[in-house]
Amino acid sequence: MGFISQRKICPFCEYPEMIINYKEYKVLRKFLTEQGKIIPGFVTGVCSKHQRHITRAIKRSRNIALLPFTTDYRDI
Amino acid sequence: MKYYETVVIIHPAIEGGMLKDSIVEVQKLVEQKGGELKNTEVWGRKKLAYLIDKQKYGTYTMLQFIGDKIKINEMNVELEHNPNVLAYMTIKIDETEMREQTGDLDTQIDGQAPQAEAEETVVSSEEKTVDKTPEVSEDETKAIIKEEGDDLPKVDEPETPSSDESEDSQDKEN
Repeated sequence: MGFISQRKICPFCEYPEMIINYKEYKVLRKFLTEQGKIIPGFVTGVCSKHQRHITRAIKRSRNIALLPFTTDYRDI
Repeated sequence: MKYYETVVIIHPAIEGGMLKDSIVEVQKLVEQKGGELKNTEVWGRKKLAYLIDKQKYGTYTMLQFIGDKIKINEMNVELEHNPNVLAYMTIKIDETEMREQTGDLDTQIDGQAPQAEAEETVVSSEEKTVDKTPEVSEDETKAIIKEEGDDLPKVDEPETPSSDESEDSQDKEN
C-alpha cells in the first residue's frame, strides 16, 4: 500500500480575508477544546505563523472574559 | 505616533445615563494621561465567559487613541481602582486596525435595544413576502402541482420506513 499524504491546508493561508483578532472570539472558539485548552496546530492544520497569531488572540480574549480559561468539569 | 486600544467591561448594574457618565469618565482619564481619542465603540451587554466580581454579564466598551507619551501604567492603576470597571485591557495596535467613529455615544447606547426590535421587524416583513408569493400566482401553482403529481408517490416511499424506524426506536425505549 502506498502512503498518501493528507496534509491539511491552513485555513488562514487559504482564505486571507479571515482575520485573526481577539474580538473575533467566535472564530477563535473553534481552536479550543471543550475544556478551553488551545488545540495544537498539527491537529487543526494551521501553519506555525498563524498558530502564533491564534495563541496571542486567544490569550487576549481570555483576559477580557470573551473566552474561558477553563470550564467547570461538573458542567460537562 | 503610537496606536492603542483599551477594552473596558463596565458593571452590568450601570445602565442608561449612568453608563454614559462612566464611559465619559474613562474617556477623560485617557485624555488626562496624554492620549488623543479617535474612536469609542459600545459593544453592548455581553455574557462573560467566567464570573468577575460575582457578575455574569458586563457592558463592553472599546476606546482607540493615539499619542507619543501616554502614561499607560498610571491609566491602568486608575482603572483598577474604579469600582464601575470589572476588567480592562490596553494593547498596542497597528495603524490599519484603527476604525473611524460611527455615531455618538448616546446613539450607540440607545441603539442597542432598538437593534433587536429592528431585526424582528425585518423577519416579520420577510414572512409577509413569503406569504404573498403563492397568492399572486395561483394558476402557476396549480400547474406546478400537476407537474409534480408524478413525483409525489416517490416522495412518500422513503417516509414510510422512517416512521417504522421511529416506532422501532420507541419500542426499544419502552
